[in-house]
Amino acid sequence: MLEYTALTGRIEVIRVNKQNKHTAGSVRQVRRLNRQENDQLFKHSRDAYRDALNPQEAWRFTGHPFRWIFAAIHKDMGWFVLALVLDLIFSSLSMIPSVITGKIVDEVLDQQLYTHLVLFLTILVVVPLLRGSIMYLFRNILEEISQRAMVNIRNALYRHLQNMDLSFYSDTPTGNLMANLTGDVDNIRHFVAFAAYSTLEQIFIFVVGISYLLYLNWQLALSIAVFTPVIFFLAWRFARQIRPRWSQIRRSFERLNAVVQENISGNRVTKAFVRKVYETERFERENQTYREMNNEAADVRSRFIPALDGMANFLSIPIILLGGILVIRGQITLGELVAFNGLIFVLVNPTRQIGFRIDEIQRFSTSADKIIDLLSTKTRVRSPLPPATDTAVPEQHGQEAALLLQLDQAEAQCCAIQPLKGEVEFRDVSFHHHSFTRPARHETLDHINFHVLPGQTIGIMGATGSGKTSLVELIPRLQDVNQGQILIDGKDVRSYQLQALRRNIGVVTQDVFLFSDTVSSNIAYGRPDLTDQAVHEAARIACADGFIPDMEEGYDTIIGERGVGLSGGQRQRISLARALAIQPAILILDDTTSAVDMETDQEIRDHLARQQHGQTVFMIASRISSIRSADLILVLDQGRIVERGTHDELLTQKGYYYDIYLTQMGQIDHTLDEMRKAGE
Amino acid sequence: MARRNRYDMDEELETPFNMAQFRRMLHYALPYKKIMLLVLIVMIAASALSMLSPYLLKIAMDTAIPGHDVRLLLILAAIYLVVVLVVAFFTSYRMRTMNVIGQSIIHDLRLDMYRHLQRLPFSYFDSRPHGKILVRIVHYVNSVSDLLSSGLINAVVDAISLVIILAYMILTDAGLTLYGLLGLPLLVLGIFSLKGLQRRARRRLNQSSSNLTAYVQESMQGMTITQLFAREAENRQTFRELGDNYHHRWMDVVRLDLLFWPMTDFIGSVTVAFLYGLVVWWVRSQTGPAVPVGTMIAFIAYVQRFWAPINNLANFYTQLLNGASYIERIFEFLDEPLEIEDAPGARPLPRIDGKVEFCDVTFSYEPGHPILEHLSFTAQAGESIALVGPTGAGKSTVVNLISRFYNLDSGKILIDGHDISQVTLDSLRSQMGIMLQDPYLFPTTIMENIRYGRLDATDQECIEAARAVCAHDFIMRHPDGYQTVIREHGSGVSSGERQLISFARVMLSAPRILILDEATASIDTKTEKALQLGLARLQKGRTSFVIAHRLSTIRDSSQIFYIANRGIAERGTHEELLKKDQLYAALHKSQIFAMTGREL
Ligand SMILES: Nc1ncnc2c1ncn2[C@@H]1O[C@H](COP(=O)(O)OP(=O)(O)OP(=O)(O)O)[C@@H](O)[C@H]1O
Ligand SMILES: Nc1ncnc2c1ncn2[C@@H]1O[C@H](COP(=O)(O)OP(=O)(O)OP(=O)(O)O)[C@@H](O)[C@H]1O
Ligand SMILES: [Mg+2]
Ligand SMILES: [Mg+2]
Repeated sequence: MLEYTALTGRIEVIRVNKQNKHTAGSVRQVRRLNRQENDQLFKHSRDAYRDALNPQEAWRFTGHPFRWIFAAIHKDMGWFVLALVLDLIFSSLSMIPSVITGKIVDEVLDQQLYTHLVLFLTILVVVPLLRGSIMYLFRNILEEISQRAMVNIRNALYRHLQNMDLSFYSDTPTGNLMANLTGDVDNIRHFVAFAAYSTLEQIFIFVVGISYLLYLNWQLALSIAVFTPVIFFLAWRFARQIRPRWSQIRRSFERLNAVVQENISGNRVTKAFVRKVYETERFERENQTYREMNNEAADVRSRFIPALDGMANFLSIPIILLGGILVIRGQITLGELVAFNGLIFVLVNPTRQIGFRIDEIQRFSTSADKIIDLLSTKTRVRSPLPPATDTAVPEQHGQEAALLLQLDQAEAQCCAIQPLKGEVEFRDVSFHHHSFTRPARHETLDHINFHVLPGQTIGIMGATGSGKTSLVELIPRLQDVNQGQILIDGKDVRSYQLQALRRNIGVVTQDVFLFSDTVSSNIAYGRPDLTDQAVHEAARIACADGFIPDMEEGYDTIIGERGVGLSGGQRQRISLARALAIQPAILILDDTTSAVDMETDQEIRDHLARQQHGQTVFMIASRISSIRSADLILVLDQGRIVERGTHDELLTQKGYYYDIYLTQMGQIDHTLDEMRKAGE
Repeated sequence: MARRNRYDMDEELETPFNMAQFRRMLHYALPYKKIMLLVLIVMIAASALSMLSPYLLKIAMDTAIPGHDVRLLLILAAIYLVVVLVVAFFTSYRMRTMNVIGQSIIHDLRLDMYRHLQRLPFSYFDSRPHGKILVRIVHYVNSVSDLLSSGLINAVVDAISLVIILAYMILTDAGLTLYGLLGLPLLVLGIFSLKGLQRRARRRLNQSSSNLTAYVQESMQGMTITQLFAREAENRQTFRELGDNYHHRWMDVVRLDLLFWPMTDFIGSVTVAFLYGLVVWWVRSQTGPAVPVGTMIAFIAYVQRFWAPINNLANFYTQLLNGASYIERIFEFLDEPLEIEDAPGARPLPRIDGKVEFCDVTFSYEPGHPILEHLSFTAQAGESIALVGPTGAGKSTVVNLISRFYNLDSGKILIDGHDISQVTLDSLRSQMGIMLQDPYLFPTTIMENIRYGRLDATDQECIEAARAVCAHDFIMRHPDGYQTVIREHGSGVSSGERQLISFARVMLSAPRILILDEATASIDTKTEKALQLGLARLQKGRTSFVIAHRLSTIRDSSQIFYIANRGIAERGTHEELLKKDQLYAALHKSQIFAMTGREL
């Protein structure tokens, strides 16, 4: 399996094989290793062809795009073969008219066998009708199969991506994932729907056509056949030269996409700094590169495709010259020459198309390789035993929905039977942000120990970048510890089913992310079946019930992407309501009220205190007022707990916390004086 | 503002496709008309030449073979060889040139769209998923480029080929020509009866694909939230439904598209059969003209070739229909009103002192829901103004109006006496330093992010700015220091660090008016205290607007506005407001209560 790569920098991957041995190397090296290991396997077992879409097995297909795609559609293989057979019938039918034409010339016009004419004409009319219907039929079958394949591949990818961890997402630009899910999948679809059959068809027509010509007259046929090596040589050269161009275009397109995406996301900043010109220049560079890359590819194409075309047309010369001479000598009839000529017309097409097919197949295999790599990328955070969701998911049409329902119900059950109490213990936890490109210079979290009983409130304080967010992210396993253990209710977090664990933890992240959906759907995000009443109740506790009804459509107002259209404090409160709505055993509030005014902040805290029955609360804040009543306060500095205790205890320690207290209190004392003075 | 758009909401188009839009599209091809004309000529020549081969065959069959003339055969083969070479050469030229033109058109169109994007108001970005904007600029443009370049030229060439073939047909045998064209009306009828259906199906497909893309984009970006709330199964279901919908829409389109080829093929074949029958009947009954075998074969070859361009034209038509729905979207985007533009005759704002006046300003994001009403105040040059008040009261809104990010409903904002709606936007905004409530950092190095504040700043200046906001230490703690690459949406650094970087960015831009919207909300008290020093230096001699919930930051402000109830509910200096003992004083009391647990 591949561990994922840091896409921003030097690409390097780690390969983990069956024995869990790690090897690091470039993507290419790893692909080769995987391939060698698997060739054996495929030789001996037909079973290996299953599970193309199963993330745990996908690595077996590394470097074998064709094997992979046929495995991916193996449920539809019967239909696929049927379509190919129909296609061959179709192609055979396309050769009939030329033969009939030759016969009309020889038998009807020359030998005046007029009785045959009716038969010939009937064939000339019936054959197109037949081949039209067959073509309609098999193309529809192929389109259907390819769509299914696309849907299944996409669903498998989506499911797989849902299991990827936080650091994967912070390392992988969204644009790349989008390209995988749209462009790459579409190239695969095109292969199944079109490129595969037409390649086969063209080879078939070529072989049958040449055989028939050989049967008619071997000299003439041979004079044509000698050109084929040249054509194939050209086609091969073409394939070799065009392939790197495609990946260049692709990369350039990705960059272009990224620039536009950044610009859209950062539109407020670019406007605020008036960077129209700068941004446009930046875009223009990528825009131009993209144009040039395309032109380079067109250059290659314009060298080879006309040449291939020319070779195809060239085939008519022996017909005119040699065929003419043979007719003059009486070795073949005029009708045969006509048939020959007609067949050449049929033969020319495949040779002419060969360049395009190669092009398409190249694109397919590039895309398929990417998808296989993505599918075999391993997540760092996974449920202990492969749960139902992680194992082979035969994403099969029809049955699939029922199966998934079962899986989902199983998931729901395993969560329902595991309400946690909320005891949390960190045992000697160390953690550093993972990155291939830069080794961590120091630990983000360094030997953290603490123990919280159910229902307690923990305040966390510390300098910017001291690791507060990183610490709480470990509890719902957004990341996993590098060393030590986190226990919830006495059990290692890694021993819980991920979803069961997370359903017990309500997190209000520091950066609020809301979906462009209605306010009530956003609040009910973790519990889509929540009643309106429960939604309102959650909003009330979060002090969001004041402004929501005032919005244009109340709870049905649609929020803009990431929550634009709401004030900073409103966003935080909806996000808080979302976490409260799942009634978690453990509530994590990461700087949740930083954009909320003091009075509302106080009110929220009162509400929380009142409804908090046995809920364990982690509260990160920089205001003393937010955490002074906590049962335990941790002060972090550069990843270490430097002070711990209750508010009163910490004050007597006269350390960092005390300093902060004095600063914040000093301001207040100052104010108090002033207020007294003002009052007098 | 228009109702916000969700991933699964179809954006209805206001203007249907018409010729005018297509003509507008042609404008993008206009700069290349000369070279396109040349290509056209070359292609017509190539097509005329390649049509020669049946004619050569006819001569071979009717003249050379019966006359046992091997020399003529040789000549014919030689002519053909030349034709093949010339045609290959021409084709190569055409491919290269047309690609260059096509790519240039995409390039130009995309640049126009991007420029337009830079000028669109915030409300445009706020009202739809960003994925839907992206797809228009990046993907739709690609889809129409073929149409405009090769598609168009090919169509013209195909149309001309039809004429050339017709000419050859007449040249080969004028009498047969009319009969050869009998199927044509039938075909045209067939094509047009499918047209309406196809267009509708295409449109639905595009819609479906746009929804899918928007959904995927958002779900990739919000994946952490989805995981935290264990909502995977639900989202998978939605995704699956969108995917299935796309599948069905696609099949709808395919079922129609696939009808074309069998239709033309059948009509063509019937025509050919009819011609054979006709010729044979003429020969047999001795009534018609005598048609030599070679002529007949050549003629039928022309008839067959006649169908190819018609087929291509039908394909072009499909492509056109398909492209039309993209073109619609593209122009819909380009026609999106700018709303916030330089007024006619706007003059650049000279370097300002920084006096800001709000005169009776009323503002609403959505008509009928005013956020601010009859707001008036004056901030003298060099003053520091603090805005406080309950969340959602409109503090951010007030400061956004100063930079004219939105247009007012009524009233005026004056800077140094200039109405900001009458000066150029660039000159106005370039004198402002705004630190937005949620700082956005670009996915590049920390250094480049700071430099965004002033593009010509040296590394040293960037580092100075970082030092001034106390960001230097943490930046140096990262292994790559200033070269640390920030990932998408600021991931890779902590929230407070992000605020500090964006603070440094504003610091570097040395603006005339400084606007800080909760600049220190996620920053710890110690850093904040240290930061005050840098801030004080920055505020000196500049007008500044500071929004903060932590009162320590604003005590020394020249004026404090308490924003509530769509206006300024209270104003004055810190002392005055405390003396008043109302809203602002209550804010303090609540803070004291929270800190000490004692009611005052
Ligand atoms: N882009 C927008 N479109 C529509 N309504 C908006 C938009 N931005 C803000 N609003 C609304 O305008 C009101 C004022 O918002 P504003 O952001 O100015 O509040 P604020 O005082 O800055 O609050 P906070 O302290 O929470 O940041 C809020 O009710 C908010 O919902
Ligand atoms: N994805 C990441 N990759 C590498 N380093 C990271 C990543 N996320 C955070 N860091 C670094 O880890 C350290 C701790 O970050 P964290 O977000 O936990 O800080 P914090 O205490 O929450 O700070 P703040 O008060 O600003 O929110 C910081 O130095 C930060 O730069
Ligand atoms: Mg944090
Ligand atoms: Mg605000």
